[in-house]
Amino acid sequence: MNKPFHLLIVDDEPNIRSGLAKGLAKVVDKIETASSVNEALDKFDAGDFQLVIADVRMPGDRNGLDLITLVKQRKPETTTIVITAHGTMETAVDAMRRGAFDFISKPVDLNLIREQVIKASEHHRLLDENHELKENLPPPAKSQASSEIAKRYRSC
Amino acid sequence: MFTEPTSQSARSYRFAVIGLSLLSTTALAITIWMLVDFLKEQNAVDELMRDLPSRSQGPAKFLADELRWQFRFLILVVINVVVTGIAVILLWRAYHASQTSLRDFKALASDVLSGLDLGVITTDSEAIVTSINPRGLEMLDASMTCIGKPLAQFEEAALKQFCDEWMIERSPATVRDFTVSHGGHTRQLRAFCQMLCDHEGNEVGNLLQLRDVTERVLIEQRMRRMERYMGLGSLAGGLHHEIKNPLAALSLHAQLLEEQLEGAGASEENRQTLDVIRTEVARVGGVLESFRDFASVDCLDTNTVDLVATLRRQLELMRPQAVQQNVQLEFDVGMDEVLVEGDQLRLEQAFLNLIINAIEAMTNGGELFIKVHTSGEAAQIVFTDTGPGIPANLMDKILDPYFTTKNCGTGLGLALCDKILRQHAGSLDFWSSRSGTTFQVTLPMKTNK
Repeated sequence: MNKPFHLLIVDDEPNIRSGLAKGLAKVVDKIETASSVNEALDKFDAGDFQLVIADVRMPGDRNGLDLITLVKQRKPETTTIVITAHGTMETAVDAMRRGAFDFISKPVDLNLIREQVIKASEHHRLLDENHELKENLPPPAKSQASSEIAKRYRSC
Repeated sequence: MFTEPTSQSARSYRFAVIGLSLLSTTALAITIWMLVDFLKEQNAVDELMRDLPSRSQGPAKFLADELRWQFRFLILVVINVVVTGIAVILLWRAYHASQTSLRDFKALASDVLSGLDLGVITTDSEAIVTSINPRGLEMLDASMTCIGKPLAQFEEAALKQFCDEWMIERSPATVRDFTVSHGGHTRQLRAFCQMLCDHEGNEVGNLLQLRDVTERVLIEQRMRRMERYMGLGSLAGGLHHEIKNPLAALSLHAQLLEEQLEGAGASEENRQTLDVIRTEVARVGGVLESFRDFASVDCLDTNTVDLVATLRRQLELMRPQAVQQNVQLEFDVGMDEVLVEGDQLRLEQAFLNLIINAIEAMTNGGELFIKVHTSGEAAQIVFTDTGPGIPANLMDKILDPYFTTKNCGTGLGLALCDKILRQHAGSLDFWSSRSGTTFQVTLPMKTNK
């Protein structure tokens, strides 16, 4: 049984938040929205989100890129997508360096972002499966192997 | 540059002086001749007195005394004449000296006037030209024969009209700009007017000064443009954010609506309406992007750029369109390479805009000459087309953003071009007449440091 896929949308524009939420409702299990970095962090800490979509420019002293860094510090396996109205090369490179999964410029093409969200959820599903498989594996013959190595060292 | 009004009278003075000296020399000769005569008469009287009886001695003695006095008187006359002669010679010398110094002074004055980079014209109170310096002749494309004719003879520059208007206000701030063209060059002249007064302070006419302000007008144009663009960068950023976000929301919801309609089986009409919304939103987005490109002060990716190779590439790129529009492309370059420091992509964009503009200006075909040359530390690229030229009333506006005469154009082409060149510490200037338009790009050359 897969873990539910939760999405957090962070943008200061209410209509973009609502538009994205409506457009992506079918491809994720649960969506929450936040209008600032602080609100986003509160919700992120309170819930269990696998994907965060954040606008770069936001009111306050911390922007969307700072949010990416903070989210990655708290839960490194979280996937992040950055959207921005100012699609410059510098911002894109910066976002990727901070660990963003994708960089999408406004106006957002719903089909494109949907594809990326599906890809992200697929990625998380695989991660979960991998995790489960690892947990269900019988304990490996680790002690045997290490004793072999130890023996070899001794013989040298 | 000055006429010689006194040559006739100077000659007649010289004749009078020569005549008078001849006359006094003759008078001197006659007086000396008379003196000799008197001496002879005295001797004759002395001989007679010896032979005369003593009774007649009295009157004879009186006669001899008279003769002696007359002789002394004549000597006085001779001395007088000689002294007068010396005085005349001294006067003559003084006259010569003053003539020479006057000539020197005039030469200096005319040297000063010739050396000035100003055109200087003097007129009398009836607006007849009384003098003009060589620079003035050059500026107005006139010859010395213009002296003595009315000021109204200069048709290209309405100096007479300006002079008349100036006489009403008499303000030193009143200036007038004229455009004159001769020899294929268009020059911008600025005229200043002043009163011309003689040594007693009487107004005897006007003094007109002409200054060639072609370069200065270009600099002023550039300054004005620069002022206009100041702060445009931050405005663009703000505007971009303020419009782009609502636009993004609009676009998102339009897409949602489209999807909902698709599901419910939308009518053709509804689909068309949504199509319009989508294309218009995309269009506003495009306009915003190009405005930001134009106004933003982003960094240049500076490298060494070879202008010759760059232009050659651009021309190859444009050749198919040129052929289609029946435009011949001519590239004239004397050097193998001209290197400048700059952003290759941006410079290419600027050149391409100029070439496209020139080709599109020649709707009935023509020729586009592109010439590269260097002068001092600047490289110049001149784009000359044989199109119909830019109407005079639009000249001031063609580099303004969003100014366009085309049906499909953003009006940012030349504005962007100008901005790119300014970013490279270069400039974009242009001249236009009915036989074509010339755009001149000036860029600082790469220095070998």
